[in-house]
Order: sequence, then structure tokens, then C-alpha cells
Amino acid sequence: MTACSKRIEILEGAGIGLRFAHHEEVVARRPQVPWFEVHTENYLGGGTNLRFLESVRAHYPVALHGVGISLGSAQGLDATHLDRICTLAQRIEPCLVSEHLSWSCVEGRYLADLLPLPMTEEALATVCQNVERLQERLGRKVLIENPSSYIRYRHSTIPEWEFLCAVAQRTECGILCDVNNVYVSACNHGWDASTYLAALPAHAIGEIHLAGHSCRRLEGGRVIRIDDHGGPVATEVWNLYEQALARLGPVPTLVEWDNNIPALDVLLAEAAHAATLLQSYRTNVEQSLAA
Amino acid sequence: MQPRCCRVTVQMSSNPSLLEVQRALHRAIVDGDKEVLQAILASDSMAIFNAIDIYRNTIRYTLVRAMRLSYPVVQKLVGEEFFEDTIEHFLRQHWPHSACLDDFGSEFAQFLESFEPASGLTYLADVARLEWAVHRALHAPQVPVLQLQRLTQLAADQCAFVCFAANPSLHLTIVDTPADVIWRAVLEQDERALASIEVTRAPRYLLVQRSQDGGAEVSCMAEGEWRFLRALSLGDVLEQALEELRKSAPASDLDRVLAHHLAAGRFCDFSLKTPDTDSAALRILS
Repeated sequence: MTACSKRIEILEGAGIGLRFAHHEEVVARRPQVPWFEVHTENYLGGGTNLRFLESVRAHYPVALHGVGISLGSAQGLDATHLDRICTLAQRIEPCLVSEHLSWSCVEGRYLADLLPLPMTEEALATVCQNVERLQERLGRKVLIENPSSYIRYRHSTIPEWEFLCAVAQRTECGILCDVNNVYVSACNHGWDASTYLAALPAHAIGEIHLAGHSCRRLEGGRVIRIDDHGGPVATEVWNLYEQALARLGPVPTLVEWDNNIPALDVLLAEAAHAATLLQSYRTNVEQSLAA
Repeated sequence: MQPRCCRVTVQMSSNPSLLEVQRALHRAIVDGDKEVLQAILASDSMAIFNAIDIYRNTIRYTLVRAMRLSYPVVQKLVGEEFFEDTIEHFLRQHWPHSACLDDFGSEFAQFLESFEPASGLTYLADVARLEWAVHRALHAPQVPVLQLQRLTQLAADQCAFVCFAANPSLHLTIVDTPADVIWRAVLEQDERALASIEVTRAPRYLLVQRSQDGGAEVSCMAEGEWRFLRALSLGDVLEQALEELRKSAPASDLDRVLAHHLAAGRFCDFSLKTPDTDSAALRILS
């Protein structure tokens, strides 16, 4: 397999998720941001959106972040969808390609969300088989992102962090560590977020994601955190991000914002804050080495 | 409205397979059948029902948003609330098959034809039909258009057997109401034009294609010209397609009409259908 290691090595700093609302402004302004990431499924057709993406690609590294290949599908990957992703990847030459540890397709129907998998040996084997097929078809290594979730299955036998590490180990894929998702799932299920981060192999982490989430009180008083990407990164998530940097190193970081999308400058400010934390981590390491 | 499928109670084992889990979640999210989840989810039942609704609501929100992007004029005509309610009914019969949501919603016009709450809006299905054509045109693959000098290299006796490949963004559709006039007035927010439209039933032959600036060209054509273009886009040889045009246009207009559409980039390639494999074409040649 030919991995995209060259691009991963040169990619650094904090990028932002590019959404339709900012297309024209990004092309016109060319803001100071080291890279962009887009949702793969938004660019599988032709037309204006693809033209904007190509304009952006001419000046920045672009990562493709899939939300619909359904790596956990018991019935396998959709060959047509896979072909379309490959066509886009050939056209855009992305610096990174990533997808989620989740499922969304069954019986030929697409459920438009990232649904959680039971953490079982059968699901692990299925995900590994599908990741291998994706990597083989793309001819490159992909990153798999930890999901946020609101439900757990009674028959799960493997902690999510061990499941994710096993996928990376068996398929040689990388890991996209979504720090907000770690926090959301840890709060919803009573996990220890530090335990989750401590279990991840630093050498496999190719990218970190940050995003906002919201809280909802359910009937009965239970509070659930919802990964809605609809606001700024929460203070608790910034704190966890600093822990992640200490544990995983200065990993390229991306800020996502998908609902209630703010002005581009607001998003750039979030990315600038992440960049500052990345830089301070680097400075601390350099000072430690010098001493 | 078609009746919903009968629900069948399914017993889940304590150690269900991955496929069983996925089918159960599918039933819970799409059909609202959440009872079966109590056997497989680790939480109290009230929390399960609420948590599943988070997924269900996210999915529905995403699909409504996708339909809004495809059918902005239908939404403006009926209002946000009615539109969302209509999509809720639509989803009982139609669900996306792929994560590429640009492909979702092709059956909407047909659905609206029999959607009783919208039956008073006789033009609505036609507007949806036009919007789907516009949507497909805008998202069609970008291909180079046919270079006209390639045609000049043909021998005179070959021209009758030219068979064009249509530009993927070219869509030809028929509506029975002035849907294109309504569509344009809504997009241009021209209330006066909208108020003056008389909704009478008569076929209108529409051409939709992505324009150079990335927008949509929508034009209403004469029936003969539309049928000529449709024949060409379906792969008929030129001489055969011209028969459609000859029914309504004077002979002197044929070259002009063809030249206009070639220049407008309606086609991206051509081939020759040889007469020895096509008896109909042979007759035209003779």
C-alpha cells in the first residue's frame, strides 16, 4: 500500500472544515490557514461546489473527510459509492483521507448519521475488512475517527478505545482522534476521557478534530451531550485537547463547525487558538530538550 | 397515501449479530419501532427512547435540509412548515439509498401529484419536476463540450449518421403548467409577475442545462425543436432526429437550430452509426 505519508508529514498547524457558506469568501480572501478539510460526500457530483473545491485546492492542502461509506456495515461497502470517492480523491489529491468508526447503511438504505457499532469481535472483523477494502481501493492509508455516541449495546465486550486501536493495528490505518467526541462519549457513558486518550497509540494518530457540542436534559433528569458541531469548542474540550497534545504530540488539528455556521473569522479564531496551543506545546518540548 | 407496512414483532437474542442490530436500529429510526431495542441497548428504556430520537431527529433534519437544497422554490411556494410536513410524509415512502444526498429526492414530483394536502396547488408537482432537472443539471459532471471543428472533418455523406452524446447537464422535461414562469418569478422575488400568472393546463417543453457561469439555463421551446433535441440526446442519428424538427420548422431553419444547439454546448461527443447495422438509417440515406 502506498500511504500518503509525505503529505501527513508536511501537514501541520490548525486547519478548518470548509463548508458551502464560506466557499466564495475563502476563494476571494485566501485566509491564512494551513489547510482545509471537506466532507467527501458534498463533492461527489460536478458543478459549482466541485469548482470551488478545486480553486481552494490550488492554494491549500485539502483533506477528504467521509461521512457515508459506512465502515461498520455488516453487508459490506457500497461499490458505487466507493468508486465515486476514489474518483474525487484522484481529482483532488487530498493530503488526508478519513472516515468514521460507525455505520449508516443497511438493506440498501442510508441512515444519514454516524450510528454506533456494538463493540464485539464480529463488528471488529467487519470494520477491519471494510477498512482494508477502502484502503486497497484508494491505494492509500486512511484515518479512522472515534465516534460520539448516545447509546451502548448490552452485548459489547470491547472498550471503544481498544476496538479503535485493534482496527489500526490489524489494518495499518491511522487514527483521527476527535477530542470533542472523546469528551461527549465519556460524559454520556461514564467513561474516563484520560483513559481513552492514554490507550491511543501516538504513532498512529494522523489528525485531531475539535468541535462544539450541546447539552440536553432528558426526561428523568439525565443530561446527554450532543455532538452537534453547532457552537464554539467547549472549555472542557480545550482542556482535554491540551492533554491530548501532551499524550500524542503536535498532531495536525482541525476545527469543525457544521450547524449555525458563524462568520469565517470566528472559525479562523478557533483554529488560531488551537494553533497557539500546538505552538506552546512545541515550545515546551524544545525547552525541555534544550535543558 | 400508501398505508405503512404492518409491524412485525421481532424477538432479539441476547447476543444479536451485527446485521440484526443494524436492522433493529433501522426499524427504530425509520419506522419508529423502538420496542425491540430494549433487548439490545444498555440503558433504561426511557433513556433509550430519548437517545434513539436524537439519531432519528438528526437524520430527519439532514434529509429535510437536503430536500431544501434541491427544492428551494417548492419550499418558498408552500412555506417552511408545510414543506417539512410534506417531507415527513415523503420519507414514509422514500428513503435515500446512498450517502450522496444530491441523488436523493428524484421521486418528489411524482409524490406531490398524489399528495392530497397539496392538491389545490396544481402546479406544485411541475415546479418540483423542473427543480429536480435544475438540481441534476447543476450537479452533473463537468465535461468538455464538443468542438465544432471535429464535425467539419466529416465527409458530406457521413453527416446523416452522426450520433451525439449529450452534455450530462442537459435535461429535457415536459410540464403541464407554467412551472418555469412560476419558478423564475419566485427566484426573482417578482411578486407582480407571480400574481399575474394564469395557471392553465397546456404542455410546456423545457430545456435545462448548466450555464458557463455555473447557474442554470431554463428555456421553454417549441415542441418540434424539443423533440429533435430529445431524439439526439437519446442517441438517434442526426437524420432521424431531424424528422422531428421537420414536422414543425421550415426547412430553412434546420441548419440554424442545429448550429444554435451545437454552439450552446448541448453535446460533448459524437460517433457514427454505420448504415450497414441500421436499416432505418439506410432508408434515410437512400
